[in-house]
Amino acid sequence: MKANFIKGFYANIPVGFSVMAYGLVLGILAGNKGVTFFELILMNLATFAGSAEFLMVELWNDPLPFVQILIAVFAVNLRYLLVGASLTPLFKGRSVIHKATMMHLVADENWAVTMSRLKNEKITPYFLFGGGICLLIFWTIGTLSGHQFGALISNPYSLALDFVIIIIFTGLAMSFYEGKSSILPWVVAGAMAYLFFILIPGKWYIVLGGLSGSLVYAYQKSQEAKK
Amino acid sequence: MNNFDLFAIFLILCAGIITYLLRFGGLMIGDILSKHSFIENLIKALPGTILVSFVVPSILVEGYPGILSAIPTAIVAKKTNNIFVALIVGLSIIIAFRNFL
Repeated sequence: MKANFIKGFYANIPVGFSVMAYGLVLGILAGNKGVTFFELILMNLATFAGSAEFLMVELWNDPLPFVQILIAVFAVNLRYLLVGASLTPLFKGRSVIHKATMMHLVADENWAVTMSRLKNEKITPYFLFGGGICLLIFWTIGTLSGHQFGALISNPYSLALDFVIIIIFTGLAMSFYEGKSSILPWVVAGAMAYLFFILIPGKWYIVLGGLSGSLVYAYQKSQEAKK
Repeated sequence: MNNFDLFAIFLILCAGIITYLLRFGGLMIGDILSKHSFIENLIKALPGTILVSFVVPSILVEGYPGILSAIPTAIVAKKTNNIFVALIVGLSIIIAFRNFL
């Protein structure tokens, strides 16, 4: 158990640095949005999911849009269903309780490190968990120092802090770009999002645009399968 | 918002529970999921389409500075596979527009 935990911890240190830098940006944004230090710690511990935390911070407002935030978190984290499903071989023969304890700290990064290691080495779920603890430490250092440091920034507009999230998400989106099969779904998603953005108040356009695009993708794939 | 806003805490905990249930649920239904290819593809495409839906309206509202920073960001992110390099490129452009142009 211990050996795999430590191995997983070390294997995630390089990616941990990028997670820390990413966390720094989230911390700055969170501070500017009025998310408290304590709330940020709680987000890190309870959700431990970068994109979802960015979304929550972005939607954070007074009064809090409770349902919209939860739907957005659900939608952006739906991919964890697939991530979880893909870990089935790693957890083969393990008890439900073991699975339940090891799954909380699964993020994109330690999942990716674990999956690539699993190809050539016999590792246990503790490898994944050790990686999760490693990322949690880097993530917490990054987000909390960003939160503290962010207050020192006097003119967020000229530093374009409101646009940082848009740029990060644009970059992140590209990691999901598959080539030709993504083009039509993405065009539909963008167009529908803009349409709903104009028509419906609030942030519903994110989920509605995302669902429209994904439906196009799934339909495209089912048509291809028929051929 | 107060330091210990109970409503905010409750919201964060709910978000945590939802996220956890998705992670754990995925592992639990691993075998079943892969048999429904339509749902599998729908979920597979969601991260990308959600992110696109998130950014497109904000980019269009920002106007051409938004478009001119988003496109290089996307290209750099795709070519380098590094979000930070992409962030620096995109951010420099938008800051230049807001301060100097």
